[in-house]
Amino acid sequence: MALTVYGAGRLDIFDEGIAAAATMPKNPILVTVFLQGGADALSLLSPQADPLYRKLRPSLAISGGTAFAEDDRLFWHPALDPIAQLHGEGKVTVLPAVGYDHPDQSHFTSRHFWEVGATDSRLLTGWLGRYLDVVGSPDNPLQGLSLTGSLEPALATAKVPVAAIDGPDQYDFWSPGVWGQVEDRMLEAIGMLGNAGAHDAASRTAAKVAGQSATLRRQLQPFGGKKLTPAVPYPAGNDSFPRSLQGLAAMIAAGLPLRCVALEATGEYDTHASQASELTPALTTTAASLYAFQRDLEARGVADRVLTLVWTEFGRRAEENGSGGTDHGAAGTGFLIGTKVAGTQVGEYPGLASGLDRDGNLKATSDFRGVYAALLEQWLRFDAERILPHISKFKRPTLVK
Amino acid sequence: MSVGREREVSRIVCDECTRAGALRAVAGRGLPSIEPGMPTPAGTGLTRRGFMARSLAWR
Repeated sequence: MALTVYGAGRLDIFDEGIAAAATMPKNPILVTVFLQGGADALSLLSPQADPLYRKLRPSLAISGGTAFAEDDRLFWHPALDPIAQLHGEGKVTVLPAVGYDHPDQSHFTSRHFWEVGATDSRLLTGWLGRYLDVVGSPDNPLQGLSLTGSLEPALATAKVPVAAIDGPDQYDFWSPGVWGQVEDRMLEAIGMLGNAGAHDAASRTAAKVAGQSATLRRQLQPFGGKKLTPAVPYPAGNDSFPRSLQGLAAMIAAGLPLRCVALEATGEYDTHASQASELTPALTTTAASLYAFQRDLEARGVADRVLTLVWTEFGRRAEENGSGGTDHGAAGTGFLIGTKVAGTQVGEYPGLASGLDRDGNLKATSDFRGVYAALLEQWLRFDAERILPHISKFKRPTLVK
Repeated sequence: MSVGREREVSRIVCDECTRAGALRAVAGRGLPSIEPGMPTPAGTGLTRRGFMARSLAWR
């Protein structure tokens, strides 16, 4: 079983905390989905009508795909057709070239900047973690939830607890050779450990932890993927991303006290080689899963509460390399998905003639920090100045209608 | 090629990318030495209360 709670000063108050939080007003939820490795902006939205595109990408240039309605130079990657469909319904805000000034092309550094909400290598709390430290409670670890099995740094708090699970369907106890009624009795006994008397502080704490584990197991057990009947079909197979989104939709509909949720999308996007063959399957599953998640939320009547941010640490160089791939670039592509998004692109595609910096990388036409500030203020109804350093100088795009 | 330029090129071409993906720094679990000057991931050192169930789940 893999559930970890981070930052909990007291473990004996989760029962009451989670129960109390479950009755709180239906707060908006922000879901973040990370495309790890630096997804190629010029493939996600390919500038097929840009005269320089095929000159820079003689073997990687994409043909076909749905035309991007907001800029006739751009076309959706064919694997992103599901997202294009949502965009056509006004449920996707596209950021064609999002980044920051003085871009860093290190995975670790650039990802860190996005996770902490500032170009500051020293920050040790996530931007969402700092938000939770202000609005969260000391007894609700589900307020910040990583569905990747480990703490997503953007959720790292300094005060309140957050949690990480491998996935709603991966949360369970198990023991070799134990099943059925015997398993049920074993789990009851584990729960009863929480009520067992103990003669020393360490034993008492251990007993409480066991009790809390059993409580959270009961709360999360209904959301195990194997037991769920999803409202819509999700991509089949062993990939954890669609399963996690499926469980998340059910958790939201059931009123679990979530505020911020972090996931990583299917695949790796650091396509230095064999980009064409690597990118398409990753995008196919990712897009289909996000589409299913949105439809699932709508079918369950909770779509108005959820906004999904899809991000990556940078884009990739405009010119292809000699290995059938592309190297680290600067500005990347981001998406906001939900029924409440404004649906109008933030920043324009800068073009290849004048939109590349001196290193040949796509210039940013929007800044992720302004996007974060807008999400905090427009979606989460929270003053961004309280947690994002030097944020007053960043323009807030309109993200929510 | 200067050391600084070598470092810049290595970041762009990413000779370490494959290993970096396999050894991705995870908050709370320490930081593998992959790149000089890389930032400490947010959450590193955060007190982590692993639920007892982690030790109870064995195969």
